[in-house]
Amino acid sequence: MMNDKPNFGQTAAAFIGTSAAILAIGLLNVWSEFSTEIKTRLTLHAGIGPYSGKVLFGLLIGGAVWILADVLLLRMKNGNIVRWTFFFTLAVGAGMLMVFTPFLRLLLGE
Amino acid sequence: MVLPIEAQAIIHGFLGTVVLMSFSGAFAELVGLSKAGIRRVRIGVTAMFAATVLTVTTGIILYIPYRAAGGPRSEILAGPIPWVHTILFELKEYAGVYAAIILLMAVILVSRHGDQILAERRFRLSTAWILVLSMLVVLLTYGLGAYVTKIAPL
Repeated sequence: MMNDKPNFGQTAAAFIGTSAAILAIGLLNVWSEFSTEIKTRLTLHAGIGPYSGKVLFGLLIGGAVWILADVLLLRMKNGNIVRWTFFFTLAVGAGMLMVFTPFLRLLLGE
Repeated sequence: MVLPIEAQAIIHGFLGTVVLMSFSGAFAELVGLSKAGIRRVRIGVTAMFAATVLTVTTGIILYIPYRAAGGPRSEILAGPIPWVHTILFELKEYAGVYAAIILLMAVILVSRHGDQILAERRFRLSTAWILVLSMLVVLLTYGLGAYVTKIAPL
């Protein structure tokens, strides 16, 4: 029965990839607040504005990290699901903070 | 054929409602889980993820008229409560995308670890927590969207 358990490596890679996507979107948002040039570069669609680049690049970064983690953790058999869930929750919390305008104003010293 | 903005907004709100309704079904199945129930949890969570992706997609389409000159965004920023856009709407934009990503993680857990969710309490609690987390983020997005729409409709 124990041998029927799926390899945890792919699940861990998914935790890392999804966390990376959330953190990347948040970090791109923070970065764009600090640099007008980055804000301009992230504007892939004039109607949507910099949000277009933040989301697209954030998801692409998350996808790339996921693939890399999947390869690296291929042999990982077991993992502590509670720890991974905790790590994921922290990433979501950090991601939310990085898109919360009062926090950004605090970082900018306004 | 392009739907009128009002119709697109209704579809966007409806899809958000579908996500919220799917949650109660999926969560109830997860709490009183049985062998047959895990299949329903899988269907429910996948439906939530699909509805969230569609909600985000329609939201991005609606973001263009919202952001256009003379649109609700300009109206809010020129009015007495600009923080409705600068704080609330800006948070909502990203929270919706985060909700889809969180639900993707839930889909992976219920798809890959169905038997462990059934047998191991730790797996079941972790999956339940990720579902609750996604729902909190969806509720936040939904509530903020409804409030902003009330202040300045499309």
